[in-house]
Amino acid sequence: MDAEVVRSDADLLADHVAGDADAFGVLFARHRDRLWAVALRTTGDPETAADGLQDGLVAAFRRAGSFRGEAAVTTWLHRVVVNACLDRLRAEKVRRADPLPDDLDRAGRGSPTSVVGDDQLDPAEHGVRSERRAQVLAALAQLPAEQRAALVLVDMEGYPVAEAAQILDCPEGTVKSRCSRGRARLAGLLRPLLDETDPDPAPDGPAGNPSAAADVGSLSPRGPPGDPAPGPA
Amino acid sequence: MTDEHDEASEPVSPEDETRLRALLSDARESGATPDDVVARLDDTLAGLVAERLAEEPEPTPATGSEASIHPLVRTRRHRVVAVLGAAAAVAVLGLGIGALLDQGSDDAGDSAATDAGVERGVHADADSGAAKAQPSESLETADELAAYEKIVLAPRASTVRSPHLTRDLARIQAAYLSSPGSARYGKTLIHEPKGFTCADAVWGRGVLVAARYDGAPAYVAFRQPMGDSQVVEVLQCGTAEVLRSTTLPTDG
Repeated sequence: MDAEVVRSDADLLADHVAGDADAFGVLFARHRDRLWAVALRTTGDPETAADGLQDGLVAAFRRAGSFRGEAAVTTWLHRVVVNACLDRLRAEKVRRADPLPDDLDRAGRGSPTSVVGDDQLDPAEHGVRSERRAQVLAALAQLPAEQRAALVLVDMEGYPVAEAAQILDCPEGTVKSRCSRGRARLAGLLRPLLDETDPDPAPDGPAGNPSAAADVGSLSPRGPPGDPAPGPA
Repeated sequence: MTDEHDEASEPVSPEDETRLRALLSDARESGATPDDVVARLDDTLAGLVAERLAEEPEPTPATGSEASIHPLVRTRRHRVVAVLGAAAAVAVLGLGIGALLDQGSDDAGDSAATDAGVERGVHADADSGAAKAQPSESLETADELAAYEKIVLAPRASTVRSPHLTRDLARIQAAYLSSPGSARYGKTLIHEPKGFTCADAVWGRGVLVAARYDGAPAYVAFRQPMGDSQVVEVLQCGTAEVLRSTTLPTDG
């Protein structure tokens, strides 16, 4: 419906609070894929991610009236979903110590596509890349959940530190600290990959974070939270 | 947080940090949400919506059936009919007394007076019966009740924000007037939720929707369209003063 296309996130949320039965569905569907990506990478497990996303949907639906507009609606949605995922992880206390499946792609629920479509790679390169991603995800899964969430938001999804701090409901300094500690831990876990990876350019070109951004707080977002990440050039 | 100081870490070199961030970026999830997760979310959402609707019923369209009328409507209608019935009874009684007085003062006019009394009485009864059978038609002829009110239960008061006036009013129009050009504006049809408080006033004919205008109770009045547009007003409770007014298209 055209009217729905032009309604802003804030309007959809207000309409939902006012009783519009369809507004929340439109809003959530608009951001679902990105929320799913964050949930999946934060939890490291498709089932837990689906649980967290569902928990987040329920919480956001019911608590929409408490949204005061201090942050963007998408930021608020991400906060609700990330918190739901972290709650799941805390409650289960399972995945934190366990490595992820060998390859989420092969698990069928992980990454059917990637930043650069795997179908654009030759089979050998695809295999190398899948293996590399599996190692990264396995290493990421060994981090404390809060560090992982910070790295997922800042380094994977490209959120500015300020927005990641809003999502995680903590000071920017805490996000920077988590990112720094998380990277240090990952550096040890992924040393062989780091030694073989050419730092310039990034592995798959334009979709990666800016290589020039050395400090954790200076990353430029790859797009507004609600928008899909730009595709390959 | 427990993980803030859980380990002494050495900062990574700028080169390693660049590599790490590139690796993480490459490992980001960029695929669509899996179909089974989407289906699960859709089911959950449908359950939430159903749960919410179960708490408060769906809004009914402006041209909805009489079955959707809140009991309060019937109370008001019956009260109006009762008032008219009482007025008719008073008229009958007055005519009867007048006839008796006439009879006492002028014996010569017995039959005529009696005939006249019966005739008036029949007419009064007929009028009263008509009022009961077709209250709206009778009310249409009474000046003070020209705008016969009917109230339809709404789920909640709509939100109208002054900075988004036109957009909010258009949204309400779409929600309550499925066909603005052909809706009935001859009476005052009010959509309002239970417990909505808005002091009475002369609202005028049209379709009214209970609203919160910048937080305060008000009615949004959709007036009889003129051509392809209609005037929409935000009316103040208690006075019916037009707080805001705009014109909306009626052809969607």
